[in-house]
Amino acid sequence: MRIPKELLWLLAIFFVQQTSGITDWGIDLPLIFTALAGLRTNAPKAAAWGFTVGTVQDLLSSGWIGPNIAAKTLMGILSSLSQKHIYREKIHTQTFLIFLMSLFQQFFIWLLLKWDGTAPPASEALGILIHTVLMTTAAGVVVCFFVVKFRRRRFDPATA
Amino acid sequence: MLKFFLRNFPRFFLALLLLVCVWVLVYRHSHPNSQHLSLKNLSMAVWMPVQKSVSWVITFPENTLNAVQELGHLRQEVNRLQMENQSLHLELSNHKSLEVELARLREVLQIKAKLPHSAKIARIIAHDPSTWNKSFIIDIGSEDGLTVDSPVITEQGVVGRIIDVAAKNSRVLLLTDTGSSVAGLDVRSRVSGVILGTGQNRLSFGYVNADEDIQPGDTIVSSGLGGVFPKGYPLGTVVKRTSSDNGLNTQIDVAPSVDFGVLDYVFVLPSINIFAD
Repeated sequence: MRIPKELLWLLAIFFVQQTSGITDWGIDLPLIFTALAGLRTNAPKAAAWGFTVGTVQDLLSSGWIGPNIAAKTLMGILSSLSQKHIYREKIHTQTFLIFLMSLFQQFFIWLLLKWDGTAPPASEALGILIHTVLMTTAAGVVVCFFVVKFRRRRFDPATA
Repeated sequence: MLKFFLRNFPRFFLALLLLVCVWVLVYRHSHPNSQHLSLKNLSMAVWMPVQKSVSWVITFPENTLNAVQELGHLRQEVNRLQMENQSLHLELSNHKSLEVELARLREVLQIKAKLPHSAKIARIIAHDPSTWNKSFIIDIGSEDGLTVDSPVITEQGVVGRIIDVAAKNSRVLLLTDTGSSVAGLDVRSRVSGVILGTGQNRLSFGYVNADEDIQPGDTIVSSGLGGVFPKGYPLGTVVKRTSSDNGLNTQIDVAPSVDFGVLDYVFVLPSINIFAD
């Protein structure tokens, strides 16, 4: 039986995210995965990836199920749509996209938590938001470097 | 005269040699402790280069041949030693890590001896993947007698409480989660309040009147109110107090007594929540 490589990536990402305390540093690896996967596929598939990633993240998290599903699905779609407007195979382009998506996602989740009544006070939320956005962007730089430098060119329509 | 000498040279030479021999024996007899070091050194200095050169000429082809023959063996030996070296390094690293683990477990067992008999040791196996929540999963669950709201502590203080229990795992909500609140007490001034999670590695001491006597450096412990945490376990230390301009509101920042970043083992105490199922 052939296991899709994306599924292996997904398992690896959540394994790392959960075992090494990366969350404590404020890094959102699933978001980076969603953003980079969305950049390389069409909107429906990107949304499906976002939905899957968000579902797993919410299921493994202590919070209520929903915020990450909605946020990641939206981020997948936005990432896919951004293909039309940016040249994707550049480190700074991808990093900037991850920064924007991280910022937008954190704000979106905060709105959802606010709506649910479980959001922390604005001052605390701002601290979490800034911390997460900065750390996720920093991690994004590293990930994007490897993605751009070691991508398989023959499968890349941008350079084919 | 010269003709006579030349004709009898062998005899003269033999006689000279015999004389020298006699002289040597006599000299040795009259100077029994002399070592003739300078002479020996001189002779060695003269002779050894010759000896080495001759020896080298004789042994070079043999050595070269042997060296060529041994090269193959040496390569194999080097490979074998390199592998052995790697294996020993790995073994050493494992030993070091086991040593650290052993020390840690000894420490844990010493602490457990001071806790109630029914306290359970648990290992942290996963962290919360969401950046908005602070929790982790431990490797014991309802099969080990855990229930919701069981307090989780370490030797440093309170970690949090159990919020989900499965058969073999449980989820612990950390003090730092924004949904966490624990009744606290200032040890010095006996002021009561509530320790609230902020979602970051910091706590807040809330529900305290603005004019209460709380100073940076004060230790906050669990007050026992609320029926979840036993009384007297450290929650954190006050690090900053800021009051609003009108003096009506006060913000008290507390550093958690537990370093959540380096936790590996925790203790789960039996639940004392009288409202829990």
